[in-house]
Amino acid sequence: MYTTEFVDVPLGELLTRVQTLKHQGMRFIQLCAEFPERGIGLLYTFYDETCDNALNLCVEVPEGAEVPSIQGLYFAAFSYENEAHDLFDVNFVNMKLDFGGHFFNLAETAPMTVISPEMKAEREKAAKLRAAKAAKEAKAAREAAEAKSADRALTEDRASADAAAVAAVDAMAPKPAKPTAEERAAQMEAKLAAMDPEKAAKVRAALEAKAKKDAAAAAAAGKAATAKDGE
Amino acid sequence: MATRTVIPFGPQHPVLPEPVHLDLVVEDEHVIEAIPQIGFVHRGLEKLVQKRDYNQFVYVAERVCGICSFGHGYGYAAATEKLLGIEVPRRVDYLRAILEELSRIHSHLLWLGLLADGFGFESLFNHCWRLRETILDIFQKTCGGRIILSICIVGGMAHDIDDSMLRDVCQQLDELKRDYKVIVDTMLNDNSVKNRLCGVGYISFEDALELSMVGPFAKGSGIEHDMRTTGFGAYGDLEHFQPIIATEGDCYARCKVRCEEVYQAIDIIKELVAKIPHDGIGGKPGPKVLPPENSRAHVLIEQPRGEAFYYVSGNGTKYLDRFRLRTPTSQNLAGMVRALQGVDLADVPMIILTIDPCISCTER
Repeated sequence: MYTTEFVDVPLGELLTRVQTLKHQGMRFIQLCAEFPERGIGLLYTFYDETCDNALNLCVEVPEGAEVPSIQGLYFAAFSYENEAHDLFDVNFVNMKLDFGGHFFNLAETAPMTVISPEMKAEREKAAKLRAAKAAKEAKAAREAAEAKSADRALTEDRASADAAAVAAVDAMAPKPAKPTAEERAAQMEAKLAAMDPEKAAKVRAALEAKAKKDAAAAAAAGKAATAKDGE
Repeated sequence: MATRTVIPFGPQHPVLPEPVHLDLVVEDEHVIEAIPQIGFVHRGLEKLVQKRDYNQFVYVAERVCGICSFGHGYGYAAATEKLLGIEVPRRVDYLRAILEELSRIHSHLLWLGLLADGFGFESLFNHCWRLRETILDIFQKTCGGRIILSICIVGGMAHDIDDSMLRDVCQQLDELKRDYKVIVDTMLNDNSVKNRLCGVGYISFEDALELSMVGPFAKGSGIEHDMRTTGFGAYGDLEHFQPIIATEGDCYARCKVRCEEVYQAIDIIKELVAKIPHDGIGGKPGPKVLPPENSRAHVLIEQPRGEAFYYVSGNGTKYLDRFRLRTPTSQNLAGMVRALQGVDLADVPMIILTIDPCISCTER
């Protein structure tokens, strides 16, 4: 089974691409014009020698643009180019065999570019359906975003309220009273009793030395204050 | 220096069953240049795809041509199924291939009759068209119609052809083969036929390749391109398939290729009937199955006159944006112009007949 590939090619690069394909030995299958909503496009189809792989070059043709003819490379394209000219008003240049708009004897110019009322109605209906679907999707997305932001705000509110409540509870809770010197001494004695006796003796000696030092400092401060008062 | 004259050939001419016009620039009865013109019966059927939904359009596609009508319905349906992503049952592929091969026999017998009539062999014309009636009777019995079969729909077949009927078809083809052999042997070995066809309208292998020619016209110059070799549809299940080619590149070579293709088509039908599976015949897709927006698909099918290209593009609605049918004849116009260069004026009808242009297909 063969593979099919559609490649978009700018109009300016068309001839170079077709030349490359010709040198690669690709077979020219067909050229057709089409007129979808976005404007006139050309589709060049090529197959490789084994007929297994198809390559389609899709070319968008701006209004009034000149399209280079590929008849010099693939003469079989003459009927398709003249047909595209007569039916779609595509302006090909440098054609080897140019029928000048008389390849098909048609009553009107570019009949294939006329959009039928049925097609127009169907396209409008499809466009409305597409717009409705897009609006529905946008609304759903907006609602989802709003719901998400509301959730986030609620979570943040809850967190701040919780923090305030915790602070209030903390403020209301009774603060523990500062321990007195006797209580501190009793706590220390309990700790020292649980310690290794040798280490406890050292700690006790250090504490006594610190107490003496504090007492000496206090006595010195008291003398200095008395002398100042006497002056 | 000889005087150049332009002789208008067609669109009404005894050897042309369909309207094509040629401006033949002649010099001493030698054709120097031929410029073709078509467009006398252009019907704009491709445009109708925008007014008929994709299920209805298969009946329009069939009416593109009265000779390969089934093939056009088949090609359109296959391309649309590819666009919609529908996979049909294998039985559908087999039935389609069988009917396509019957169409090939019918087309080649019709052509052979016209060729015989073209060079004045009227009894051969009568015999060929008598045999062609057998195929039309098979169509009528199996499908209900003789020319427009209306059996191929998007997604499958409108109705089944049962196995006993298919076996009966094979028997009729055996009888046809016996009669056909007598006719073909007579024609291909006749001296007057050889005198008119051998060495006339020569196209070399290189020219055939250069001009992208297709079908028996290209095969007569040694080109082996045949879309049945790609395994499309049920053709991939054939045990042994080789395109029939000839290397002489003249009118006689093209005749030989077509005559041999009738035998090959009969063998293909018998092989497919022997192998046909029983997995249903599919059906029309539901109303909610629509082609995706900006979707495109194409297929190539080997019609009696060569490969035909079917392209469809969707826009998300039940109406397709574009249906494109590139017929084998459109592709062979360039080859026809080349084959006519330098020939005698008296040989022009024979050359055109052996190319077998189908202007109805081209003027879709």
